[in-house]
Amino acid sequence: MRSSGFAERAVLLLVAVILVSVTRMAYAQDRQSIDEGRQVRPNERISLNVLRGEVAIHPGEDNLLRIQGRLDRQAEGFELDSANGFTQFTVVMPRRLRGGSRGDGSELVITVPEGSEIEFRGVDVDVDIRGVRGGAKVTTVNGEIVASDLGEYVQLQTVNGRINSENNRGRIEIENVNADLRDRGSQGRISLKTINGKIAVENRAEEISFSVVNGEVDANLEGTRSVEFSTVNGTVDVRLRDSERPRVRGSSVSGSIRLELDPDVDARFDVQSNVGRRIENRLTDDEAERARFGPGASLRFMTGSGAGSVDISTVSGGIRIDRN
Amino acid sequence: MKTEEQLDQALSRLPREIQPPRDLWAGIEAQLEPRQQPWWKRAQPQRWAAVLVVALTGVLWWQLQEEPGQSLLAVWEQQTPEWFAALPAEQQIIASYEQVKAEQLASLTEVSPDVGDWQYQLAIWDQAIDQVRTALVWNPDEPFLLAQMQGLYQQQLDYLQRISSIDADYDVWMEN
Repeated sequence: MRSSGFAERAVLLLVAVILVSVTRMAYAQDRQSIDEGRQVRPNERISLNVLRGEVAIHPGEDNLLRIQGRLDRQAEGFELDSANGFTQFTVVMPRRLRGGSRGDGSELVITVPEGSEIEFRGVDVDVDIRGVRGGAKVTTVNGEIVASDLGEYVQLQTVNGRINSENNRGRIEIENVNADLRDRGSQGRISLKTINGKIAVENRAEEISFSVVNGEVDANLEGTRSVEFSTVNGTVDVRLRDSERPRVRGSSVSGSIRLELDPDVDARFDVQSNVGRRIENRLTDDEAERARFGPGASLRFMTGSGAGSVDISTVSGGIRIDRN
Repeated sequence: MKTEEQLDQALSRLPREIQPPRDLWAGIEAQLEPRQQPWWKRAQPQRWAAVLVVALTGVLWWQLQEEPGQSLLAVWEQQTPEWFAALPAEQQIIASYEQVKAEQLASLTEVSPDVGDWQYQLAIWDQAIDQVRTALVWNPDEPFLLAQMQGLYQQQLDYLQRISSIDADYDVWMEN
């Protein structure tokens, strides 16, 4: 009696395993594969719309646009139109998604001409874009963006996704709301904005600007001629090296600012606090003076011939000028 | 002859206050003629101000009813452009941006849950604007503070624009 009960349970278990395997295989086969290629112009303008998943975009040869991988589990197909230097690719999704996660999303590798200009739009999608020189605009809501070796006009924008930018050149705009932004090794004119995230930068940008509301800025800059930053309640920490005559302009409401400069920097300094007296100068022996009327303070001095300029103001935050 | 010291001592012994032998006010009050003030003098200045505010609000409200779709700001500008221009810069900034902000908030029908607590975020900017206004009490018309206030309002508007456009990101697929 006992052995027959064991056999019964073993058979039931076997049937369950077979059923699960068959269902999984059927489900896996449900995903549509894609391998499409088009000859396009070397400076083709390519628009890509992928709602969710993971997408890698990298340059190829022979002016070929190629899209390989698997579509979203819930995709109804795809559209690929190419004419007169413009190409548009969209993973067609149902009007209403039936649950699922990002793991059910598209998994695509897209090869484009190096000189093409890319516009990518997604929602829950991670994007890895490299080596495209004609410009790139990448917009997601929750996905992470990794962007490197891009050129011309680069715009990277998310709401909750992290953005990692590396060795990009040209005019670069990086923006999100609630996640961290990082740039390393980029050159040109760079703008980074976040509301609650942290900005970490280490580059040789010619001009750079930071904006955070509650977040943090931690910047190591080399040879940068122009630096602008603003924060509401956040913290800004900028170390600027090998910039003899920099132009620095910064402000905060109640956040704190620290600016570190070379000892031989050549600039006029104008540092103001409207209703606070937390101004500290460790670059020279000059000290902040209290306002004649009201609760503010100011610090004005000059180093060298005063060729550059450093203007920093706060409503009630702290400001510290340091030397490298 | 008394010395100066003796006089000082005598003075110090005198009582500091002398009470009248009877209550004089009752007699004085009885002799006074009752005086009637005109009604416009009886009203206090604060009441006049309140009447003026109510009247102005009424006129503006009536104007809005007549011309729906016009902003309150526009009506103000139509009614008394000189008055608006004469407002302190701080008030002009507040009036302009609060109006635009109200319009943007009114058009914000649904906010994506991906945004998070957007009202808390707006409140952070509001607090910062209040801080700047407090500083303006000490430094009226200070250009940095006015620019800061304008910048904070602009950040709020950009944020509202951003969160309202997130649904548009989904629209690319919804159109299919």
